[in-house]
Amino acid sequence: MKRLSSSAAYTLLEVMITSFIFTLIMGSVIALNVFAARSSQGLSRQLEMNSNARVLNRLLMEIRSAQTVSIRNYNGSTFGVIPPGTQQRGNALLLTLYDTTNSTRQIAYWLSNSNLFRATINGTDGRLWLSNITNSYPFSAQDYRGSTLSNLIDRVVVDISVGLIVDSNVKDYRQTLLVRTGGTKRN
Amino acid sequence: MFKRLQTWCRVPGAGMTLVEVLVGTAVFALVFGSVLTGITQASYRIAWSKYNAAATKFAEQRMEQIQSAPLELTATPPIDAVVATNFPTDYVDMEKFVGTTNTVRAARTVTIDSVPNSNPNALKYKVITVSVVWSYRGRGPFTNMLVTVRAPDQ
Repeated sequence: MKRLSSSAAYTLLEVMITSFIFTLIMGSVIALNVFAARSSQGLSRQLEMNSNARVLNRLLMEIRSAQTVSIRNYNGSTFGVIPPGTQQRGNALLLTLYDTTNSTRQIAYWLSNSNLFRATINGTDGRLWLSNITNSYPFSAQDYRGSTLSNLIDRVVVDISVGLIVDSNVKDYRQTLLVRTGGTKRN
Repeated sequence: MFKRLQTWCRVPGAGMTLVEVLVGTAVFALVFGSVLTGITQASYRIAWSKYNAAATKFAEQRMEQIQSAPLELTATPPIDAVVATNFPTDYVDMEKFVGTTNTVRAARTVTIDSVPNSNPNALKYKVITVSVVWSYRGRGPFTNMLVTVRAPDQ
């Protein structure tokens, strides 16, 4: 392209091409930033899920060392006993353990408003354990074949199934991580 | 600065050549592509780590079931429920994506072997292996394996 003189301005074509390239680069950079921000948010949730799956380790350890386990139904104020003869599946779990002073203490896990809580009965250590749980009855008493029991037996397997919402952004897509595990009391 | 730029250019006031533009674009694409790849790889690895934790929990569940199965070889008649047929292969969808049929499915298998011992009075130990096999985004299969040894109930 031959210029008319050294002080000539840009031609329309040059300006248009420059604008196009500028738009392309800026668009790419902005898209990358938006993508990175969304990824960062998603990664945080995924990492949280990863640690949530590991949080269950404490629960399993307490089941294994428990003297007694009992599946209950928590109604907001009391831990209701599931009558013998009906399937032992509920939203709460009561464990009796011996502590280091050889005295018993009871630990409760219960589901309330999609959150799993843990506390020592008559203690002050109550805290939120897991959040964003999708199912209503995460605990059940099973035999070694995986059949839900109607009556508690000595070698009961406490089955734990929790669905954890990974991404609640319904505009995009929603993922639910299903974690299934179980523990048998050893005593 | 401007004077140096003018010296660098072959013709004062001339624009960039096609090669310069192409090289510049290639460098930009390379940097941009690297950043994008880094983000997607990090995302993949974290998701993988999450499924890995869930698969281990799934294996632990089966192992606990096997640990609670009766194994009383001194009883009359002997009771041995620690056999592979009592724990058939099963499947679980570790993750569900609402609005799609996509799932991350894991298959769980159990193998049980006896530890050979020539002494007839020795305890009959069993080696229990639980494997959870899963794939994600066309990669894999990945296997989470738990192995333990169980003695008969006393």
